[in-house]
Amino acid sequence: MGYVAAGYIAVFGTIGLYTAWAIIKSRRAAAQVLAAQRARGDEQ
Amino acid sequence: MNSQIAARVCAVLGAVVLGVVVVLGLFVTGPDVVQGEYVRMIYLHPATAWTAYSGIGVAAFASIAWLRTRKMSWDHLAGAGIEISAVFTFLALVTGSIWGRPTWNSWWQWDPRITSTTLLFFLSIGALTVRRLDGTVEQRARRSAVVVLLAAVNVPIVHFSVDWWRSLHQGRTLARVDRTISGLQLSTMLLSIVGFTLVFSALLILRARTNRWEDEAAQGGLGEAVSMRRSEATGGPAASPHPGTV
Repeated sequence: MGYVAAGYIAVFGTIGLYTAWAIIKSRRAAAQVLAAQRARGDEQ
Repeated sequence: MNSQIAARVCAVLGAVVLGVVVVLGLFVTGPDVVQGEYVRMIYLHPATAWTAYSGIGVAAFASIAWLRTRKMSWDHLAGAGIEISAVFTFLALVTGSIWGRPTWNSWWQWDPRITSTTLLFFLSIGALTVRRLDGTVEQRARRSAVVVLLAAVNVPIVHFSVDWWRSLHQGRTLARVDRTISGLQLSTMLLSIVGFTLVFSALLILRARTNRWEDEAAQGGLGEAVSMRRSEATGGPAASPHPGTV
């Protein structure tokens, strides 16, 4: 069962890490867009 | 339904379905007569390959759409698709290798299916690499589209390699008349494909939206830099980087 367990851990571990990274990137990008919109609002 | 809600619904449903797959795959289904306990890898390996194919399919479709329309939203979708494809092609190779060690007594074989899948992985990495090169967003989209389409050509080669050449890799499991899988094993395998498709959909929406936001933020920053440079050159006040907003 060692190989099977390694397979399941590799798949779900990778998907978990990739999803967490994607969420962090998404939040960072959203914050940058929001900051740019606020800066434009300040100029007006 | 907006894209954020759609992504969340797909993510939650995908997590639930994959949770069920893990329980069924590890604790409910029994060992196989031929493969023993290692048959449990079949509930992951084909689904990871399916997701990799889906990612490259979406990326190829979006790349063709970008080449025809030049709408950047297609490039954002293509970038998301090829990235997810790279991750899941890697997982297909890893799970195949983990299965191969106890059954073939080898982590790696120069088998047509495995070798062409590895080529697909490197082509996906190549597409992601050209997306990082310097240049305008149009240059990035064009370069990426070319490499994505090159990678897409490899997909039928990967898929039919087990029919075209003598291969160690087993042939088709589902698309054959004398199917060798049935009952709970078949249901669990199909459920894993559904679960991975839901997770793929959630990731695709999330990554495509992030690509759009990153472009918007980068273009906003570029506009401000151009405006500052202009004001330095003329000695006047900085103009708005966004025409029409002042």
